[in-house]
Amino acid sequence: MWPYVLKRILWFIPTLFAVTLIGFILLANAPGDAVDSLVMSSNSGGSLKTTQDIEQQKTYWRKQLGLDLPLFYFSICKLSEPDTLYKIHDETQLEKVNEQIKTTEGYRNYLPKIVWYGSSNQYHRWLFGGFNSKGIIRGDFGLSISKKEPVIVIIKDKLIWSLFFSILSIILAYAISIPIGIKIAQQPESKFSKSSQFILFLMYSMPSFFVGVLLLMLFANPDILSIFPPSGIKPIEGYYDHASLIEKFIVSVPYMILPLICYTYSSLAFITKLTATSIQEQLQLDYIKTAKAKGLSSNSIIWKHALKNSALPLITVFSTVFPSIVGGSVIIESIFTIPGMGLETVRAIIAQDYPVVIAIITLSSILTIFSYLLADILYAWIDPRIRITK
Amino acid sequence: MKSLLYPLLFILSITFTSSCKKTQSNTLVVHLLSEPDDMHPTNGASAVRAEINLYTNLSLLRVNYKTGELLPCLAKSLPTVSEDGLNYSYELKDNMTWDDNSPITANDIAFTTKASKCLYTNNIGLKPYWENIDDIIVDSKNNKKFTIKMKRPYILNTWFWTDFPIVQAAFYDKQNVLAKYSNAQLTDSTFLKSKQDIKQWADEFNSPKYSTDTQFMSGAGPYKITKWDKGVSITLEKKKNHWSENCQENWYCQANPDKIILKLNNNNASALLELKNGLIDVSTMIDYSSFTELSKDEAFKKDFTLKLADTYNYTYVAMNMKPDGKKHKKLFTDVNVRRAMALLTPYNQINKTLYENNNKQVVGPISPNKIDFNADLKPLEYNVEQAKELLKQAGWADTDNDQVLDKMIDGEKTKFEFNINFISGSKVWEDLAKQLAESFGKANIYVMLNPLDYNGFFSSVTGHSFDMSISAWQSSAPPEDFSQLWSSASWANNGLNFTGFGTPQSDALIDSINTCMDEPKRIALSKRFQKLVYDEQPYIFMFTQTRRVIVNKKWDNLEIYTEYPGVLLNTLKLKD
Amino acid sequence: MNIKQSYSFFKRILSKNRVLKRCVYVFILFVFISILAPFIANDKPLVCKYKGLWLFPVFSFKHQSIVNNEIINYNMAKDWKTLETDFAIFPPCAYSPNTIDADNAPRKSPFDNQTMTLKNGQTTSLPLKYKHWLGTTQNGNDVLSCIIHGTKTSLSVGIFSMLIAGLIGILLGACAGYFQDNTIKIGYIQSIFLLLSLFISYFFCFIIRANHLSEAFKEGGLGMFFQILLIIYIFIQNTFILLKLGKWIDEKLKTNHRFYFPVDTIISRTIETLNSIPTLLLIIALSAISKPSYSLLIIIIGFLSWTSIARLTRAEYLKAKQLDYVTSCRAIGMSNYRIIVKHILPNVLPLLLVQIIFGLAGAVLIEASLSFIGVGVPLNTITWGSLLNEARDHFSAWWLVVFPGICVFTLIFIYNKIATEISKIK
Repeated sequence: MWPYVLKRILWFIPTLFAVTLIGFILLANAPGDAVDSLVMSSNSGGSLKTTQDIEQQKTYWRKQLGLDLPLFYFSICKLSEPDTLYKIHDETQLEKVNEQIKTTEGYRNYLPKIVWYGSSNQYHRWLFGGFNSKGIIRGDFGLSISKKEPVIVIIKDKLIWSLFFSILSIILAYAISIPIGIKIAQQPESKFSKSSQFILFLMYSMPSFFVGVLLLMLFANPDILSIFPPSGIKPIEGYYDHASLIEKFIVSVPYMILPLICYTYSSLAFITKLTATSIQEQLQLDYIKTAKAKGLSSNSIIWKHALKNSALPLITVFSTVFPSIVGGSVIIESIFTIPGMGLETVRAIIAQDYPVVIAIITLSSILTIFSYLLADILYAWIDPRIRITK
Repeated sequence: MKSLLYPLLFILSITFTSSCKKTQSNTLVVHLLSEPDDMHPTNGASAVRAEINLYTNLSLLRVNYKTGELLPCLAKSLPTVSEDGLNYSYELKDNMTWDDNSPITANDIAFTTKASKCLYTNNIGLKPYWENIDDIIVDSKNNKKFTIKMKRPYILNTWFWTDFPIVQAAFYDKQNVLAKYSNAQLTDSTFLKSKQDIKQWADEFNSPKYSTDTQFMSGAGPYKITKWDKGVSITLEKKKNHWSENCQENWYCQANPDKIILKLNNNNASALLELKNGLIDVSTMIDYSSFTELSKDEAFKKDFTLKLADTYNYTYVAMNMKPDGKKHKKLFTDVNVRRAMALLTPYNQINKTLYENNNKQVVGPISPNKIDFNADLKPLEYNVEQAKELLKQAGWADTDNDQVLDKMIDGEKTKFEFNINFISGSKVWEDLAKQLAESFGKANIYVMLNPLDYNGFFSSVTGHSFDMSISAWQSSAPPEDFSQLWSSASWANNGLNFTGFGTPQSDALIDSINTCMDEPKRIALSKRFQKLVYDEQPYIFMFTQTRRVIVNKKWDNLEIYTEYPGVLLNTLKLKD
Repeated sequence: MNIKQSYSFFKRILSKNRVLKRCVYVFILFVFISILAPFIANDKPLVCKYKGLWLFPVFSFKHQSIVNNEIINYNMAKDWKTLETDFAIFPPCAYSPNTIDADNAPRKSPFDNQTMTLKNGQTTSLPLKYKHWLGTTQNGNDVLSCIIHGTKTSLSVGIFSMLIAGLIGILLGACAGYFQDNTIKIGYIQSIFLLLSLFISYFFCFIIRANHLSEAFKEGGLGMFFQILLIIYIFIQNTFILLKLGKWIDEKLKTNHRFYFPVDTIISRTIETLNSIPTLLLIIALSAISKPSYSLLIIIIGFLSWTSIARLTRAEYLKAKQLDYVTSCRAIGMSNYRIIVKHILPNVLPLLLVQIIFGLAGAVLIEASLSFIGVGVPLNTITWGSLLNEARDHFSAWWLVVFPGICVFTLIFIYNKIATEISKIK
């Protein structure tokens, strides 16, 4: 077992790197100048006295954010370009220099060269830490541009809410769809099976934003039915002091129901169908027939034997459902104003706060990768054959 | 399936009992549209922060909301001014103290000034406001007395103090570093380079804990920020055993609700639902059509007071009068064209669709609600034919029959097509831009919408890299200083003069307004200036903004003011 | 499979399965609506007679006509309705999506009393032929017209992005599944040349042509698509030439050290990496980097959602490779290309089609979701999602939720239904 697990973990390292690299490329190509925004972002913005002050501030922030470093370990560039071109940040100046190179250097403009910068570069600093940064491997995602706070401080609480919702909704989805799936597998032709399958299929095709807005319109609206609170995740006054975790949970239950419905309903069809087909397959097998012949009740056969053996596909579903739920949180959280990662993403995109956006993308990708890893290991743990064949 | 039904019923029963009910405590819940970026006492600048500071901090002077005049707050009375209008002598009140019961002294005022003026502190946008203060001289015998020396006479020399909270020197500068240096030294960049202790203090002072951590927020006001749940709410609590207890004489020391919760919700619809559910007590931010909808709802009106209140703010569409000619074509350099654009704006339609006919049309650079408003200027009316005529006079014609006007500018055939910039995320401005685009299209002008984030928008307008942009001007009770928006120096320094308006004459007029201490004379000059702007038409002046005040009737003592924020939350009283 | 065969194949399927038949009909209806949108919903009349002259404003390529020295500008929006024509036939929905009807703004419900102002300033209730059947938006845009014109966006985003995704997915999936890690052998010199070709192509595309590229991406539209095609072409061409060259050198030098090129591993790893990034988040981030446009959105969705198709293709090719007909093909020395395209592909295509149609539903959902949160989509176009976005601020405007919501739902539903029904046939 352990060699297999180790092998899987080793295989995941390059994927992790690739994901961080994609995140970094996005960050490096983000529109707007982070330093500009940091220096200029004050809402009153009176006239600045000296441009010298601004330049000083900009240099300071550039150093703080590590933007004075080259982008990557190496760079592929024109033979004619000097190695230190990355040190020019002013766009007009850069244009001038480029123009000059273009006109004076001739054929050297069309030949490539590789410049090696070593580990003192933005990606390395971003990933492993460096001057003024601990790197994302130690949980430091840099500074939010609009809030001037460390990104991780902003994200931390939001991540917890988002994770809470996604995990709860996955559990809920399993809890609802496995019994239905079994019912369908037992009597595929019954009225219940047909109608539930059809309803689930309808739900599967419903866009979550449509359902979310409808739910709010119907069940949080004093004009129609005011059962649930319309927004937020806890009472306006907050939790009372010294509330235990369970008490907090109970107080928050009414706030969670509508979002949870939204999170859950679309994955029901998928899991139900999978449960039904895999249990049907199991029911055809000999050992079930033997068990039946022995006189075991049909319910206990299914719950004790068939379900255990059809758990495999259900586990794989977990790793496909998870990323879609994380993505879906953008929509659902902005409908129900849940202070989670999705809502933060929308805010950050509108404010062009790219470090936050990239941190959220990278973090959720890493989480997804770990969920894959978990599924793989669970898979191997349940079905020993996999360790050998894979 | 029956087994599923019971837990479901159980959950439903919890929700029925626990949702939609608010405890009847002395807690005021206020709807907040957006969160302040930070709560730093001197570095931050967002409007929400200013509102919170009204309750958590005190400043030297405050605005008397009823009369719109100055009201002494920390100061005993309004200052005595020297003959030349440069020296302002103040004396502080005796009964006011900081949270640790130490008295508020002139040193705190001096510290606030130094901290704001010091080049190392992180308030670049605010520094120009402090520019005019030369020095603060504390009376050597009485540390409650001091004189502020200004560099030049200016109408806002006293009004200036209403905006800035006074901070405690002992709290923000424990080593007492700044006291050692003078204002002149702190603004001298060569001197500062050698002083490590100032740098150290500034790094500490700029650090995020003072802007985000409630433990590190201190002020002299009757309320204290006790909790800031990011993205959810900000809680202000009334201080216990505070000097302001039972103080009712002036608004700034009143503290009637025990707790004020500012609840963040930037979604209009769910805020509306919260209001209807009685979860929010006060809102001034709900949008116009929702307000109209609510004011027709009899059941809602039973519980809530709904009032529309004037403000000093107005919206406008700025046109670039001095574009570079390359990236942005010289479209609006001709006053006829600018006038034509103003005539092409469907004012009535916009007022109806976006503002439910609640807003007044603005004609010049000042809100009609202010005393120095020039009522002789006539608002423009939507008139396509006249606009077409003006465009024709300016040389624009559709020569190639492609439905877009064109003209030879600097030997190059230029089409009349451009971008309208506005800040993304605001539905009203998006709709406004769409309506403008449609209306300009009727005169064969092609318009593209260009939503930008706040920083992008701001740098585009201050960098003069735009054609047309929609924005709003937030004004307040003090006399208007036109230099920020209209002086040519402000344009040259990338200030708030986006359009490039300004001639030597207008600059001279602004200067004489800014130094005129005689009110009737100033009003006359201001009216002249408004006429000047009206004739040049650098903006399409749109509408005043109206505050949509909704307050739960269980709160008494409601008064609505024109000045921001419209409702003073601390003065509201819970009905018995 | 030629056209005639596939036609008869589809005909057979359709006649067998009634549900599928109905779904396909609804889909065709959507396609017709999207093509005929300008003739179904337009603020200009189809035909009108003005002062004795017949005009055909909808069909005309001209922008204006001169009638008795009076210039009639065709773009005068709702003024057509107050023009005193002798005779006029309007399209069934007499509004364009961008027409602002200030009389019926903000947000008139279908059951509200809708009004119109005549030329003399009088207000009357709206005649039935001009009625806003599904209500209006804040700006007074007609919802029905917006829905009709929005069909085009929803359909085209889905179809074009899945065209891209399908091409990439099938190509890469087939390569991974057919060649695996143990088919293609390359020499050392060749492998060095492969790296070299990537390096040169990268230099050529992204360094030398950097300016063109960034400009094209700023502009968006077809220019950007062309640039992407050019990049792909440069990469393929360089790789092809240098691989051949490397092979030639290898043969000349008679180096016998050859190793297997891990096609499958590379592609599978790429799929895994892309799959672990939440697609919607990535699309939001990417589409906000450049100026929002639908062509950019199509490309982004296309380039991100090929993974599921590729995975399926890979699995099918793996299976097919074990089958007798493929082994016999290889035994007679048929070229790999021929086996992949001519022999395996037709057999697995119906199954891939199912996956692609599911992908269509996903793409529609992504586009609508983005419009709903108002990120990464151009503002000028009103789509189903953006109508719902408008309802987000005003729940009392139920017609802005229900009608566009039902449209999105219907389209996704028929896509999903068609896909499941086809998969049942297999």
